[in-house]
Amino acid sequence: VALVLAGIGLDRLAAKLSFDPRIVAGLGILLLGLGLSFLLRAWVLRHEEQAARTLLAEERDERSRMLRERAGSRAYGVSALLSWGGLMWASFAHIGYLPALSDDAHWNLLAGLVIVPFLVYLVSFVADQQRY
Amino acid sequence: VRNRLEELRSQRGWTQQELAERVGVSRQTIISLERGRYNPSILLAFRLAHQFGIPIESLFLYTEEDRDE
Repeated sequence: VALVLAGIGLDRLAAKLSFDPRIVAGLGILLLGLGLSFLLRAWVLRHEEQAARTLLAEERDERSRMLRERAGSRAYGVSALLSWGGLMWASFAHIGYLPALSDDAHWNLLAGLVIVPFLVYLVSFVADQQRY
Repeated sequence: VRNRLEELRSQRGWTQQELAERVGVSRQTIISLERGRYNPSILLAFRLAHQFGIPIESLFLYTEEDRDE
């Protein structure tokens, strides 16, 4: 909450910053979301006995852990491959062997580095759930 | 690895959920085990055998066909 308020405050009060203060607010929103999810989980564990048992069983369940690990491993592999590809492209572009990446292409690459591994994780998890 | 989980669970009149709670896994894991789609860890296999009060090799039946899995 403090980060969100700081980001909004900086955006309104400080006109000439070397960075966009909305980044601070964005980080605050992310942390706020994480905090709320932790609070929700704690509330469920304390007040909903049946749901808490199901939640804990699901978290500790060895098959679910295996599915998460397999999905995570594949997502990491794709993430590493994309990062390597981006790094190679940037390196060769720097010495003129490949065309330089535009700002949009950089943005797309970075977005892809976040979104593609996440999609791989989801698809892998769902596919393995059918399989195992 | 084939197993006698469904047979023994039915004999005792337990639901999949009951058995899952007894051994600390999800109901989906019991379903996968009964369908033979998932092979448990050695610890879970021991916990299951312990619940039924039988040796592990009476619950899980290893055959030569399982060798390549």
